[in-house]
Amino acid sequence: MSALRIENLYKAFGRLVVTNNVNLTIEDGERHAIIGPNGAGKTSLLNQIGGQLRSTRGRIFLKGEEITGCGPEQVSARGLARTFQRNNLLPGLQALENVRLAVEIKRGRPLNFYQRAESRRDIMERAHDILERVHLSHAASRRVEQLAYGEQRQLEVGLALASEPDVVLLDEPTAGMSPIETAQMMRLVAGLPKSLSIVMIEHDMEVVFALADRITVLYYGEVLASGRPQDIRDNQQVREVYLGIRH
Amino acid sequence: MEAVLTQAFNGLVYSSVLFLLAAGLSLIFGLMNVVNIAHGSFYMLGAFFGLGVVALTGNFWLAVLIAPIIVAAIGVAVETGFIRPLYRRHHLDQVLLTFGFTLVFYDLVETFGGMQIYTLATPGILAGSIHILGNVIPVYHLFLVALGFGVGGSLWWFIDRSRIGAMVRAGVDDSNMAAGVGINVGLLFTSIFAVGAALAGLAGVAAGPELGIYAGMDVEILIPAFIVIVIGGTGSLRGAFGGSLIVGEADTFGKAYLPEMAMFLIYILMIAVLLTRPDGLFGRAKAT
Amino acid sequence: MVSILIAVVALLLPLIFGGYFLDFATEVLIFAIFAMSLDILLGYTGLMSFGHAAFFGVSAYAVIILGADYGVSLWLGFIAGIVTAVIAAAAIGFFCVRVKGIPFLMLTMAFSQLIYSAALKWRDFTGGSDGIGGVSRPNLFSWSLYDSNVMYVVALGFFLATFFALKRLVDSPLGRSFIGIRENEMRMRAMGCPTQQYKLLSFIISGAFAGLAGSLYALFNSFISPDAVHWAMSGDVLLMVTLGGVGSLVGPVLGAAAFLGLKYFISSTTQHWLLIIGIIFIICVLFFPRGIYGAVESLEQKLK
Repeated sequence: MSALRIENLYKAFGRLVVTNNVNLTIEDGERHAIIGPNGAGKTSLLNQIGGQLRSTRGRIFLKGEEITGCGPEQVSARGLARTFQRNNLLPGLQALENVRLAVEIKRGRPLNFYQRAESRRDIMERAHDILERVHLSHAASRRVEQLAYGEQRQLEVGLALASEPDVVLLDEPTAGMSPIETAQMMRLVAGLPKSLSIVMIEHDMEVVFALADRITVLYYGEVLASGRPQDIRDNQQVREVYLGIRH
Repeated sequence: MEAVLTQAFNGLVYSSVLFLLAAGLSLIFGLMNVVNIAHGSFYMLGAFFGLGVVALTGNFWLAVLIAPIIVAAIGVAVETGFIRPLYRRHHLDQVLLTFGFTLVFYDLVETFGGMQIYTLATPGILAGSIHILGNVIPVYHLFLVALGFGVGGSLWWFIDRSRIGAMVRAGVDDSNMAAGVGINVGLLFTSIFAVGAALAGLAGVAAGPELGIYAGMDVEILIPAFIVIVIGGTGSLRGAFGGSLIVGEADTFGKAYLPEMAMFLIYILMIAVLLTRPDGLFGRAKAT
Repeated sequence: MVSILIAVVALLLPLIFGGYFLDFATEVLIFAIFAMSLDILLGYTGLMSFGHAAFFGVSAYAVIILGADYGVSLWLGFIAGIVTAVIAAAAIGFFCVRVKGIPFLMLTMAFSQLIYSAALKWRDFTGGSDGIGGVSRPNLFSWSLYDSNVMYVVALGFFLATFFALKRLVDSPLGRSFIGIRENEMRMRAMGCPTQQYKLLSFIISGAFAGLAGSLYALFNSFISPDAVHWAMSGDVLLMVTLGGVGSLVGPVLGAAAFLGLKYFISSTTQHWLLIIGIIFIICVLFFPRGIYGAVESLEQKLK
């Protein structure tokens, strides 16, 4: 049983087809990178898996169970978490509170209306742990608005981890980052537990070839090629697409 | 059968007035993401300024020309002075601000006009009625319908065909991008707000003789106007048009045939539409 | 510590002064509960409603109708009023949380106007525009609520209970979820929170406390008319919350006091209440977005 399986996924907005019969299987513990030029439909694909977007046709299976058409909260409950390409955090709240909310939903009693949220030691500890894992312990009490861009990207990953997923979708984790920040994010992703399956959209080829077990190339909503890094590197069509010889 | 046709035409008259308001509201919301609660106030101000012009000059047409211009000027002042500083803030803040203006305008009108209902004398050329298809239709009704459709049609053409219209459409779709392409978004916003205000003011002075002029007419027209854009879909002229037809006819037929239900009818209509089509019947979700 | 001292003094002052001021303070406390209830919905969950008077008014109507037409003790009616408000909030909220932003605003106003229209039309039941009166304030054990001191203490009791209950709520996991939804609903959903259900919960809790205020109002006023469900009433409580400071719980209390104080003072000297409150409100939105409470907090910061 695979961690994530996508069957003949198709999504169109009127006449605009953003996902054209995509088939993809992610095995347990796999690190899978999705690459492709801008507008290839990578984020739309992630949005359909994550439940933010409803597919026109096709099916999605998480750990063998169908999640097609499920909303984000259900997908999260079933064990899939995601980050967003543009920072999508809770801006007025502290970094710690952001994570605490995610942990509470997963581990706590979110309907509790009479106890102080901070009184749950185990939840607070877990939140601190996650912040440490994403190298944000020093910024725990700072509001998201006050965090540096790179720190916000790290918090994105933190929020995803807080949901204790089996599969995590990373949407351009290193987007807009300096080389140092990119290296740090790379170490973070590389250090994620092997039990976690990772699907990562990336533009930075260094990151892709360093981290990915397998790569899928998306082009105009279709899978152009899929396989091991060296196979993709040698693929003629892929090179044409990236070098712009043929559009 | 004649009765139904008469009611249908009456409905058209109300639809015309609603359309003038909804068009402005929709444009303002679609372009600027501003919910102008004070739109009904512009309608009321237009009517009262119209009264003033007629009192001073005795000329109805002058009133129809000047009142909207005065209201547009007020609109410019409100937009540049008070709404513009709020663009970076949450759009609900603008709701609160324009709500505040509603109170101010109402008080001013009540102070200068009192609580009575005024009538505006219609010019001789629009008096009387004509016979169409066995129905007796007041000429003034024809005038209102023609005005509504005429303005609507011109607006439609303008937005669809002209360069400035293209800028408006670009701004409605994505104002950040529009600014990036060099469009003077500030000027555009102010202009659209002024146009919206002028349309509301025009509706006020034109519909005044028909619907009555009194302090409190702002709220009476505002809620149906908002129901129109919610049903039709915000940010869409087509939605404002379709919505005003639906609401205008529903309300008129409701009052004629189901007087007990009339008060509830358009609310129930809106609830039904919102629950099945949250974006309105002709609406499109914004890009940002 | 200082603020607690000021609060205690402020709450005890009316009992010392008595008379008209005591009645005014009672009314302020009742509307403070009403305003705090709206703050849960608006300030903490981020949902702007223009129809909150629906729950306030429906509750008051229940109390008065049960008392006047069916001879039900006003205390029993009190509870019935709150239950009615909760049912109304659940029913209306069920529909409203399905939409956001402007449609939500319009939908809440629409439902509230429907109730207003019903109150107006349904003369036999609600007394129409004349309203219903003819009930008397009940006794609390051996004390008569017609004793202004007793009435005030009753209102104070419910006010304090509400304040501390809602304070607990906003510090609790549930309250924090509301805040999370306000900050970024999409994110909360991606984190696994069924936000629509939570928004409904917020709506119901908010409606329940608005109902509590309505029941107290019925007790205090012994009279109800459709004005209590008119959207002008919804506008008034919205003004109170915004003037006082959205999302602070204390703010709405200050806002209720300021609003009602201004209203009575200004109305006694001039006809232009709407003009003045409109201008104050515009200034508040532009320059004091965090209201009276926010301004006080900023002042405190500067003095440190």
